[in-house]
Amino acid sequence: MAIVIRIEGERTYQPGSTGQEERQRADEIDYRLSEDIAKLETDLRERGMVMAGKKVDAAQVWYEFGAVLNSIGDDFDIFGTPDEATFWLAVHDYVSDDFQEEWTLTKIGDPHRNHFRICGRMARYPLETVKQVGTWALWRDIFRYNRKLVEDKRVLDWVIDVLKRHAGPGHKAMRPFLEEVRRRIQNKETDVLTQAEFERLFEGAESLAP
Amino acid sequence: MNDWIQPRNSRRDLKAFQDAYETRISHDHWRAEALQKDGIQNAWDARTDRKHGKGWKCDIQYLSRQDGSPDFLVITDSGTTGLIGQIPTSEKELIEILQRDDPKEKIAYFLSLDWSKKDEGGDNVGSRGRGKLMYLGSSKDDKFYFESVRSSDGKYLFSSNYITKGHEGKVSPPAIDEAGRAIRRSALGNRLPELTEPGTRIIIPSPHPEIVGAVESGEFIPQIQKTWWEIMKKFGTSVVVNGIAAPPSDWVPVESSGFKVRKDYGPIDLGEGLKIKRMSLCYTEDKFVPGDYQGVAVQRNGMTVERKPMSSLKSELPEDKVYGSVEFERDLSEAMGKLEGPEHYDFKWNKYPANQVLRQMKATLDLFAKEHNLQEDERAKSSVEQRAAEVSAQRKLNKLAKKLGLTGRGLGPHGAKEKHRRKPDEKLRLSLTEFATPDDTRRVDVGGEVTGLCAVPINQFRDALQVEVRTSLYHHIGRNVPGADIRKQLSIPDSSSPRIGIGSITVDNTYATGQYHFRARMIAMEDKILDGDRTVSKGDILDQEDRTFWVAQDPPEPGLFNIIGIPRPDRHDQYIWYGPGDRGMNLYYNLDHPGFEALLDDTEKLEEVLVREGIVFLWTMYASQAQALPNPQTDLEKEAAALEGQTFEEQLDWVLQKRSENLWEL
Repeated sequence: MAIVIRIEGERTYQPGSTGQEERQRADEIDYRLSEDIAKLETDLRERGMVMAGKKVDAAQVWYEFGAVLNSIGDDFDIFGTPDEATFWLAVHDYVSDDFQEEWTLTKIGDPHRNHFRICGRMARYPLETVKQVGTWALWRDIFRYNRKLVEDKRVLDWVIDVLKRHAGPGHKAMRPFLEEVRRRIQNKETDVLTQAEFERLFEGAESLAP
Repeated sequence: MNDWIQPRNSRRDLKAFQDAYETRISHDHWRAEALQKDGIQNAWDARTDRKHGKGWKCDIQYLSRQDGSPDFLVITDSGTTGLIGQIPTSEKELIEILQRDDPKEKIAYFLSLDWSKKDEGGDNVGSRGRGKLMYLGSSKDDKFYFESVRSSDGKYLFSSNYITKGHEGKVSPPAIDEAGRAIRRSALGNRLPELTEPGTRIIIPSPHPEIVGAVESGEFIPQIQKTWWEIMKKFGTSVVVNGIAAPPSDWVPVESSGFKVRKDYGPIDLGEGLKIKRMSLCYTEDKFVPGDYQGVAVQRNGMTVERKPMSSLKSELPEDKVYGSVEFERDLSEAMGKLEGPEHYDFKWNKYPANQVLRQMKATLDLFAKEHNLQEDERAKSSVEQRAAEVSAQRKLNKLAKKLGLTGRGLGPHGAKEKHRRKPDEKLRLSLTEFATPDDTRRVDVGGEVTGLCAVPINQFRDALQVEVRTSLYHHIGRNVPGADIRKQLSIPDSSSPRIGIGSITVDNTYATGQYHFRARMIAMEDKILDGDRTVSKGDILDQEDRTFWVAQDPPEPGLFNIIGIPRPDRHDQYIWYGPGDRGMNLYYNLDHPGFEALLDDTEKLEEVLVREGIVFLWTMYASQAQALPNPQTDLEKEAAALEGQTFEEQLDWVLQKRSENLWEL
C-alpha cells in the first residue's frame, strides 16, 4: 500500500518504492481526499460555519472533517495499516489555509498529536455525544492530555461517558479530572487489563470531575 | 598577670569527632568501621619496609572480662618501627619536640592531638593526628593505653591517654623500660603478654558493645577487607582478628578474579607531573557486586578512602555489575592527601587536582563502557515536531559552544572526551545491547544490514514475573515496518535469555529515507510484590527502549550538544539536565514535566526554552572547565577561573549575565 504525500511541495509516494497497482490505489486516495475535502470546505463556508478564518462552531467543523476522513479511510481500509500515519499527515496537503491554523509539516508528524486524526477519533462518536461532552477546547484537551486516550478506545469511551455525565462546566474545570486520568494511565499499557482491572484502575477518578 | 590556657572540653571534641564519623559512615557498626580504618592505618603508616610492607602484621584481639578486670580490645602491630623519636620528660619538652616539625618524632606526635607531621600527604594515609581520638571513642571509659618497643633503641614504653571527669584530655608521661612494665602490670594485670618485639600495641578498656559484636561475629573482617584489600592482595599483608587471618577479598579489581571483563587503564597524565597510576575496572556478567564494593574505590597508600558510585561519576553503568579502583602515583597521592577529609572518607572533589581526577575517572568509565559494549543508549522519544525544535536549538547552542572552544573535550590540554552513558540500572529492564548498524554513524544505505533488533527482558529479582514484551520498528513519521510488530508473553527470569524482536533487517527500496526507531517495551502481566520490596501492577510499563538509525540519510551533525527529550513521569526533580553523549554532551529534557508539556505543540516556544536553558549549562561547563585549568590563557578563561572561591551567588550571577548577553545577540 502507499499514500501520496507532498514533501516540500513535491508530490511523492510513501513508501518510496511501490508497484504499479499500489500507486494506482494511492492516486485514488489522493483524488478522494482532494475532492471530498474541497466539497466539505465549500459546504462549511456556505453554511457560515467559517467566517474570516474563524470557526463559528469548531467542534461541528472538526467533527465533519473527521467524518469525511473516516469515510475515506474506511473505504480504502487504511486504518490499522502501516499507511495510517502517512494518511493523517497527508490530509494537511488538501486542507485550505483558512481551515489550517499555522501548522507546518513538522508540527503534525506525531500520529498521536495529529489534528485530523483527533478529528477522526472524535467523529467515531455520534454528533449528539460530541456536543453533549462540550466544546472543541475540551475535546482538544482530552486528546492532548495523554496519547493513550487516543490509542486505547476503552479509556476514551470511559472518559467520554464521565464527561457526558458532568457536562456543563468549561474545559478548564475538567482539567483536574483529565490530569488524574493521565496520571493513572501514564506508565500503563491499559489494553492488557481485563474489564474488572480496568474499572479498578479508575476507581474514584470521577470524583475529580466537577 | 599571665594569660590563661583556654579550657577545652575534650569530651565534647570527642563527641563532635565521632558524630562526624557516624554521619559519614551511616550504618550501625560505624564505630567498628572507623576504628579498624584508623587503627590499621596507624599501623600501616609505621611499617618498617615502606615499599612492600614485608613482615608487617596487624593483630586485633578481644579479651573478655575476667576476675573483675574489664574487657579489652587490643590492636598490635609488628614489622613496624614502634614509637621512635625523642621521649619527652615533661609537657614543656613535649611541645618543644612538636615544634621541630620533624616527622620522625613519632612518640611526641602520638602523645599529642591534631599535631601530626607524617609526611603531609606523602606515603602515609593519616596525616591529621586525630586518629587516636577513635581509640578514646571506642572505650566506654574514654581511655586507652599503649605500649611500644622501639626499633631505634629497643626501649619499652607504656603510657595512657584519657579524658577526665572534668572533660580535660590528658596523657600520662611515657614510662620507660622497667618503670613502664610496672605501671603496665598495675593497670592490666597479667591479662596480656607484654610486647617484646618492635611495634606498638593499643589497649582499649571496656570497648563499646558494637565493636565487641563486630569482632566476635566476624563482621570486622569484611570491613577490613573492604578498606584494605589493596595491601592485603598486593603485599600479602596480614590482618588477624581474634586469631583468624582476614583473607583477601574476592572483590579485588586489580587482579584477574574470573570476571567477564577486566581492564587496567593508565598511567593517565593529568599534567603538571601528576598522574593516575592505574584505574582498574571490572564487569561481572552473572554475579552481583556486593554493596560494599560497588563504585570506584579511590585508593591512597593502600587504603580505600572513598568509593564513588557510578551515578556520581555520571555513569549509567549498573552499580551491581561494574566496579573498580583508582590509584595515584606519588606526587598526585601527596596532592590528594591534602584534599582528604579528616575522617578519611572523602576528598574535596571541587578542588584541583581532585577535580581533574574526577574528570578522568568519568572519561575512563565511559571508555570502558564503550570498548566493551556495556552501555545502553537512551534515545529520543520526542515527536517530529519536537525534534525540529531540538535540532534548531542544538544548532544555536553548538554554534555558541564552538565559539567558546567547548567541543566536549574540555578547555586546554587537560580535557577528556566525554563518551557514552548508560541508562540507570533497574532490576527489571530490557537489554538491547546487540543493536548494531554497519558503522558508528548509524546511517544505513540500501543493502546495509541492521542487526540486534531484539530485546532481552531481564529480571534481577529472585521472584519470577509474567511479562509481555512488545517490539516494533517504524519510520519517524509513524509508518510501521510490516512484520516488525512482535508480542511475546513469558515469565522472567528465563534461563534461555530469549531475544524478542525482528532480529535483523536488510534495507531495501521499500524503506523510506529518514529516521527509524526500533522500540521495545516490557509490560507487567500480573500484580506482584517482588522480593518483598518492589510492587508491580498488571499493565505497568516496566521499561521502554529505543534505538535509532537513518536510512539513506546522515544523522544530525555533531556538536557539543545533542538535545534529547525523554519521558520521566516520576522524576519531579528532572526538568532539564545533561550528561555525556556520543560526541559531546546530551542535554536532556523531561517530556512529562509540566514545564515542557505545555510547549510540546509549539515548536518556536520549545526551541526558545531549550536555547535559554542550554546556555546556562554551557556557561556553567565553561566556568567549571576554566577553573580546572592550571594555567588559564585567554581573558575569558581567566575571568571564569577567577570565579573559583567566590560565593555561589556570585558565580551564578556571572553565568546569568553571560546568558543575557548571548540571548540579546540571538
